[in-house]
Amino acid sequence: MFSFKRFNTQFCILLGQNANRHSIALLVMVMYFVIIHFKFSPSLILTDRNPFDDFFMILTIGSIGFSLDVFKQLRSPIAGIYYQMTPATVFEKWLAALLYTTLFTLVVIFTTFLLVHTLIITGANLFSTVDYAYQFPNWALAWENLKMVLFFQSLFFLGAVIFKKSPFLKTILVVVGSVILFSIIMGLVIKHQFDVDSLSVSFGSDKGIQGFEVLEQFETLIKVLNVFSWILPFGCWGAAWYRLKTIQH
Amino acid sequence: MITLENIRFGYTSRKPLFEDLSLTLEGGHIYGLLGKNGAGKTTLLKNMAGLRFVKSGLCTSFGLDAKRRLPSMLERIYFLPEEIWLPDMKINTYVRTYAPAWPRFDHGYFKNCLKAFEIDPTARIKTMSFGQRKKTGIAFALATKADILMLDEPTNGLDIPSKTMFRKLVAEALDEDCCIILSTHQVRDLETLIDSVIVLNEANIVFNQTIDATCEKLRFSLSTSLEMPENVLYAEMTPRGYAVVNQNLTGEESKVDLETLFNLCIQQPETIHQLFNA
Repeated sequence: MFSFKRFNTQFCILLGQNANRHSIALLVMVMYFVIIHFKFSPSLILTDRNPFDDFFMILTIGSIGFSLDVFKQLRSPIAGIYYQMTPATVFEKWLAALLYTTLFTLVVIFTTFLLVHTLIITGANLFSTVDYAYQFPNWALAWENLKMVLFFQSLFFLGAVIFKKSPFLKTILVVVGSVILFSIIMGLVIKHQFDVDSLSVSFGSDKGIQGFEVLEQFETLIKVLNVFSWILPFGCWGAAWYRLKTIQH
Repeated sequence: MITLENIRFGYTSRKPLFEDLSLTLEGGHIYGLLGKNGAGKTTLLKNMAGLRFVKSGLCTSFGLDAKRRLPSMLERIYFLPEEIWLPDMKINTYVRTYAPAWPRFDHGYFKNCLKAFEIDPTARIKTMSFGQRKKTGIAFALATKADILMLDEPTNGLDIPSKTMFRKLVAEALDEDCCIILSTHQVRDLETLIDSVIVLNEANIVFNQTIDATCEKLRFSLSTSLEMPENVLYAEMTPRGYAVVNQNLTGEESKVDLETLFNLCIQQPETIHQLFNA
């Protein structure tokens, strides 16, 4: 049975454990965010570009880093015992880690950036004759970008639970390996498709219709990949939950 | 409180660590779990706590399957490993952050334990010595007021006054609803504390008796003679003479020497079995 009190305790434990480390990480992100507000030309002035253009990239890096950190205790043979023996269901522990690395990370980074941006723009408007406009992330692409963040976060969230040592490198290796394997398979499929196409042309088939079919197959592939990008985060999160349930120390 | 029924466990399928092992642990006892290096003392505790899943058989705590690791079970069990892990924060912050997970956590008692161990509650954990961290871990374990306390080599790293204090605190913590399991090699440290002895050897329990039952059947003595005594179950040379174990035929009470008892159990498991299961 889900208990909000236990979930809250788990979340507070994660917060307390990672407070120092993640505050420093946030500070580094903020410093980068401040820097990208300015340009040298040759004196220091505010740049025209929207500093929030990099927001989702920073958020991705943040959520990956935090995902690797929230299971640091679990990966240690001794600290892992403490993690497992803390009274809470696997679901409560999993949900606390998931929300910490997704929603909480998003809210904290976004709020901090927004405050910093507001301060910089307000300050610039106070001391400059130019009227600088307040900017925001591109909301039209926000959902697509957020999907990308969750895609990468879920991969490293799972990697952090599965790999006891060097989860970051190992996850990257698995991802790169999978992409290469997928590319080879797709390359072979496409090559085969073109071979079949040219073969049928030589038999005098209607070339236009054949070409159209190949195009349709590509569109189907894109649709499948799109669905896959939707399913993958849920699959990774589910797999992480299962791993948490079955992991032994 | 804890029931193990015909459990089988091994890290490899070729060599099982436990084979058909059964054990029942009740409240109101301080069990001493003894065994040679690699006998599986820590693993057995882990099986009971649900940290390691048995391959076959039944392993329950409070009637709940240990491997499910349900909060209702975890709230009543505290497993303190030999090596202590504590996050990098102050003790006060640590307790404020982690203690809410244990509904019966007693903050006042924790403070008293820290005071008894002479630990500054405002100290930063990172700057503490191994012994100090161990004492903090013990204080936290006792303050959870768990019904089952599993302490793995609890006296390792403690200085002499701290060992004395540890015995005092553990003895005070025991009540009818509490079961304390101490896995140890340091039998001399805990001799006065343990009231039931469990000896683990070659994949099974070779001895599981209370100190009283042991006294009834066995008589422990020290022979100052330089010659090996005769008609004894077990004798071993010590700097003070021969530590001897005889069958107690007169009903005379003697102080159980855990080290000698352990050696007897390991070397003559058949004799022990016949004597206690006749």
